[in-house]
Amino acid sequence: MDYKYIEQLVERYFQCETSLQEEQILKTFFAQQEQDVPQQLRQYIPLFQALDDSHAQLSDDFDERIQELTCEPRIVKARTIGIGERLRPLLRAAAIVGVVFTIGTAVNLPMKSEQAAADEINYSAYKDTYEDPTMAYDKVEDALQLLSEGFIQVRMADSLRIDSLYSEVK
Amino acid sequence: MKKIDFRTDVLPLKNELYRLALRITLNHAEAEDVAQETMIRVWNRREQWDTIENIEAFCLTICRNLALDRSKLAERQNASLDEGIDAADHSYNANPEEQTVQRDRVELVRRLISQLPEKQRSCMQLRDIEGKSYKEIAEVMGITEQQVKVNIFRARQTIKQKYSETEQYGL
Amino acid sequence: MRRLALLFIAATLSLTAAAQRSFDFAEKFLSRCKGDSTVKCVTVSPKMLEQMLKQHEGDRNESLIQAIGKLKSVRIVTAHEDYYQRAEELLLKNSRRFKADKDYRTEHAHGAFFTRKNKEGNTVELIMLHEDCKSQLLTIINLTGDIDEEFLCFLYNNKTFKN
Repeated sequence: MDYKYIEQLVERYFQCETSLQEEQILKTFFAQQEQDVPQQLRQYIPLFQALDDSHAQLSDDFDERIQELTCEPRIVKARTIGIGERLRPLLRAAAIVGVVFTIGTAVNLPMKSEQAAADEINYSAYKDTYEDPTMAYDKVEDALQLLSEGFIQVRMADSLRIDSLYSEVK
Repeated sequence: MKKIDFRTDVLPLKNELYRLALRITLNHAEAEDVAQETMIRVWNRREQWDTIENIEAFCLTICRNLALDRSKLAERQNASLDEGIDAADHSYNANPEEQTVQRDRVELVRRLISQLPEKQRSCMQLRDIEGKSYKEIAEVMGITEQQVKVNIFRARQTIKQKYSETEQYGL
Repeated sequence: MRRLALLFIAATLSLTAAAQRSFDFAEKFLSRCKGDSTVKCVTVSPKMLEQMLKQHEGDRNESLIQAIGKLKSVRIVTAHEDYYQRAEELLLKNSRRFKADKDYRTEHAHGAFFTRKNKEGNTVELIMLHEDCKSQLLTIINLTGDIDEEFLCFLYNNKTFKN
């Protein structure tokens, strides 16, 4: 094996003078076992192996998702329907609505007293972003700062409106 | 001109797009999003396909631009809010000296690459990993072939230097 | 046919049951953006707020701490400014729940406030939409708790903000 050739290629690689085929030769050479690479070239093994990054792949369901998002709309064939056929589903729907409405109202009556509960937020489901209260405090301070500034802007706009009203009245 | 078919010409590019997006955003979830978004955008422009000479370069360009937008947005969000649980994938960003170099030199090189400026990173990705010509890379990056060469030169030199420094001084 | 009717009944019952548990606006907005990794949310729960107050025991008189004392939760959502419209639409669509309050505009930003009142007429939720055109960022601040005049006073009076 002519290691001088590889050494030259490595030299040229770092000078950006190699072609794609030569770069492939280098990648193939350094993909060998360490013992098959001469001592003076072993330092380059990690570099060329790191460039063999073709293992980063997307999951299989990626294709499915893309197919779903990019499918052509199906052409729907129109057909004529008789009046009776048209009305039947409407009558059915009306019957169901009637049932639901009666039951729904019956269910809602006891619900009124629990209106207050409906306003309550389920805080137990909240997952804190930070474990450290100091970090959380920092963010809350930022948030309230932004809020304050917003209020000030609103106030300023309001007072400008009032001022202009006054000047109009004058 | 050969008629472009989504399934056989565009979909197979998915991993290449994912890898480029990953190289730029340094985050697996973001990279996957970008790859998906790129596909959708390319699909939405199917009327233009007949006019496109190099569909691969077209896809890579869109992918890169989307990935850049995402990482700029993430940068601003990080500036105003530290991400807690949703942290960016730092496995690409850890200080190389903190790792046991003996155990994973390849990992060290990967980290060094991820620390390069984006243009150098992307050029290196497209050349050394995806095997694209300087002409193609120039088209994707929107720069001249000469600039591509300069970026790759700087990238390779930096990696070589930083790697040997770390190896020499251990840590 | 009978099965359909039973399905409808089951659906109605589960809807009324679900109405027992409420969500803040941020939760609603996030569920609309499900799977979108560009939308980030910072959550501060009631427990965390309590811990924060404990840490600042000595500063109990500071306006900011007093303001925090009135809160039950804080949520900060950030996303690209393009999402402003989506957030605004969601609020306006739920106008029975969220009432539009004032809005404002500066050279580089604009925003709006929305509130939610409870049965007794007290403001229990405050939402601020803020779009910064320079950084192209949307920030939603969602507070729940006792958002009354006193709370607003504490905010106005606070002179110890970082900048």
